[in-house]
Amino acid sequence: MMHICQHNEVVQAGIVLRTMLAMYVDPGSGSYYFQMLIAGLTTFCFFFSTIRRKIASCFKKSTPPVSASKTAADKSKVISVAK
Amino acid sequence: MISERMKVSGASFRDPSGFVVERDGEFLRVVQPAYAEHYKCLFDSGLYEELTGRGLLIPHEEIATEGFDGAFKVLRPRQLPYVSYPYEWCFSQLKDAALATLAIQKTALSHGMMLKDAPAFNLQFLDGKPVLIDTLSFEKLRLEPWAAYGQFCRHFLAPLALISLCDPRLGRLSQIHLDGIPLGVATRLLPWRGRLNFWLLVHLYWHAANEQRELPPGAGAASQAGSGKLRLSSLQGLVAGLEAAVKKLRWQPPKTAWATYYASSVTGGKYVEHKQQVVAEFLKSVQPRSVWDLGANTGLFSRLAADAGAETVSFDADSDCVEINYLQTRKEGGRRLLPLWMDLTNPSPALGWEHRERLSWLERRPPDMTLALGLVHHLAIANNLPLERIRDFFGRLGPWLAVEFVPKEDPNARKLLRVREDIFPGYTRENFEREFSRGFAIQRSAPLQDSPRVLYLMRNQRNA
Repeated sequence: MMHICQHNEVVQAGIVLRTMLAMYVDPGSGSYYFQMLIAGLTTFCFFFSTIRRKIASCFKKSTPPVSASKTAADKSKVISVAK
Repeated sequence: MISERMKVSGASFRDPSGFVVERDGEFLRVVQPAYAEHYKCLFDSGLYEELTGRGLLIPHEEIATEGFDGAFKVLRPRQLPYVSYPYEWCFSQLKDAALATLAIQKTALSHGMMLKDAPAFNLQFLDGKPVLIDTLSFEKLRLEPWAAYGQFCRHFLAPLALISLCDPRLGRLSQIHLDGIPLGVATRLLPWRGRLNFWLLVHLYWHAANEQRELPPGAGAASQAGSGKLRLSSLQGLVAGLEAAVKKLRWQPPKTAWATYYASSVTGGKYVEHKQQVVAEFLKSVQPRSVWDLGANTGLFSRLAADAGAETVSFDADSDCVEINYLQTRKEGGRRLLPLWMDLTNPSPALGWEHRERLSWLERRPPDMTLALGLVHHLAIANNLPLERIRDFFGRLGPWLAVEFVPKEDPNARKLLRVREDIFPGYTRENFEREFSRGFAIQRSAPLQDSPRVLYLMRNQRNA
């Protein structure tokens, strides 16, 4: 009987210890680690999307350039906001 | 150390880079010396200029640091007319905020900087568009995993996927989980077909499976340099993949009774037209700077307030109506109108540490004028609220109230009573006027054409 009690205590202590260890895992560490796992995939995704954009731009009609006066007006607006 | 005239925002304590204070009704951002290097880089790199120019970052001016002992800079950002929270946004508002966050991160990467956090709370709606309000969210680029990746997925991707693939009401889970919906919870709720979207499979399902994983020894932001290196192209690809995941999520509001309310025959004849005319007259006589439209439906009357020059917030308990209202507002472009999802019988509570991180609905700055059109019968009959409780509630809001009384003989009120016992003998126009006269001065009353309804303009005695 005593043996069973001791066994239960050990099991309970093990559960508590595992729970405590889980609590010490930084919630962001899994996301951090996961990004390293999928780094190859995301790099491929970047190059694929870049190439696709370049190919698409070859088939698109060229858009008229923004007039110089408009660009200057936009820039002055940005600067006044930044102040 | 700051002077007694100022109050530090209850939500501003996590970031050692700075904090927000309220002084004389204005919100200021104090930058600490520890952030000086990153702040300079924000300007030197041209990132501030580009993001403010594109309307993605709130513009600010630097003011004197007197009274702010030890501060590196004090910023006075453009003031927000109204503060809202992600759990009050509809699907497209959250989606636009997610895409804005990714556009900011993409631009920051191309300027040698990155976002150090990405909570949805860092965005607010200004002139109808989401804008980043935390100027101190940027840091110099480090070629290692993006620290805000998990936060972005919990705050944006998980609720968007749940709304898109399950039910729009699941967006409210963000109110319980202030640091975003745990990915394990989201993936358990999502249907199996969620896995068919490749980027959801990667950023939600595989991500969730690795969320509790411990880092290998020696890896991590706090470890020796070089242990967790990533290429810039990998970080850019991560943003591109998240963008693809978000863009692919769609949600079409169904045609509910509320969403088609004004097209229904019950409110036919000249009723709507006359009501618009009377509301416009009320707005003209009060000339409010801010208006809350309670039970706004798809914002027909909110638009009158916005057109009259008032910063207007439309509240409705039906997420479909809010979605339709927002899409219409976005189409019109730059209107002073913010549609929000809010159930008045259970409005947003104060949340977070000491209940001070997220303000309750009634703690936010009240408007100059409240519109309560076609609302009182829902509160009184559908929600059993006594007229005096409704009056007291409106009394806590701004100085002016435009309220519509809908009598029991109205077809819509009769609908409410069709399946319930009439336990509202006191719900009459006479009692309504008597009760409201105890807190308001009735300035005008206008019976509406082709309807038994009456529209009142009242002055709140509490604010008089």
